[in-house]
Amino acid sequence: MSDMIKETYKKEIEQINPSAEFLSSLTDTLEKEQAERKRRKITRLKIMITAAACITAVLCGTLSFMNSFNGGPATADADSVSSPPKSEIEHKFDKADTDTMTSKPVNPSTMFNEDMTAEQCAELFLDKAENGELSYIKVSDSNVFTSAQDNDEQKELLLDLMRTGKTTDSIPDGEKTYYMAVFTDGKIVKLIVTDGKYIEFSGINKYLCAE
Amino acid sequence: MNKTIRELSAKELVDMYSSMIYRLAYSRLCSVHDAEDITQEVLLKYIRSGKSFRDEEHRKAWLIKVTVNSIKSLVSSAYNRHRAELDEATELTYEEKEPTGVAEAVAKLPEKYRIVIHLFYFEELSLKQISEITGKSEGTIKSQLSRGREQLKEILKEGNCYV
Repeated sequence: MSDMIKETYKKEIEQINPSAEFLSSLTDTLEKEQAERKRRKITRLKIMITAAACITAVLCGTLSFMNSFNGGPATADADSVSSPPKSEIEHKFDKADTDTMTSKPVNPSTMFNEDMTAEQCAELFLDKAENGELSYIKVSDSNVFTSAQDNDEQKELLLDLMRTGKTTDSIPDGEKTYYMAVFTDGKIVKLIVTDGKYIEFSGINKYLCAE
Repeated sequence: MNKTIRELSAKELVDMYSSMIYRLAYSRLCSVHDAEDITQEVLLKYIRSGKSFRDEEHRKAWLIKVTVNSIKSLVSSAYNRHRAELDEATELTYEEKEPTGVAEAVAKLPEKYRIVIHLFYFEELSLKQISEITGKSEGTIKSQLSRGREQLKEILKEGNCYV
């Protein structure tokens, strides 16, 4: 196509234009369309914001309800009523654990007294245990109980020894196992069992020999 | 983050692109009524798409592509197939502008060459750009351009124009 033809074609096409009337009407139509799009966008945004606010409110309400449910006052139960909080007892343990068994008694006068025989001490211990006043017993191979665990099996063995134990004046050297009994009234009793047979009530020099 | 150019207002759209769309539609359809319909349809599609463009060339190419597709749809529509019957039944109330000179000759070309000639010589697009817009290969576009030019020469010769 020659340049002249091309230029002529361009000039002729440039003469072809939409009418002013059509352009005016077209502009109105397009402006309405743009306004409608904007309005729909704002409506969608409002709906999203409202939905987000509702979801947030529901979540906050649920969390608040769950927190009040979990963190509310503890319901009364047998254990909490009859036994002091363990942390209080553990605190006593920590103090007692730092003392040696022979140098400082835990507090024998609160449970036992000097006038009682070993058998009477055992009887008192057994009465309280059988009445459900013995919370638990910890067993250790030393007089330190901080990492000791509750031991129900050992508890039963100890109670069996006490049931058959007779007063004795002394105990021989041998393999020792240390017990710490915690009662529901907060009293703590420490005992040493030697060779699985001899029981010493710590701090009061009372001894039993089981049959 | 890709940069995009700002959206245009309705007036800016009409000022910048209505003539381009109208002329392209008219060169293919040779009808004021159809060219107006196509112009409105394309610009409404632009607004409704909410599309963003990296530059003006990108926007222009998109508009031309949509125009070409809209023209194809109109040509193949049922309304257009039965148009001859409608024209007979209806008194035309609008004035049809007949193209003159070279434009008239282009209007006489087979339909498939009109758009290619217009885009190449009036919009000055490259073969690659025309290929992307029409969805045809560059080879096809080159061939259509070549044949279109040949036939245009014949038409102009017959009309004793620009020989």
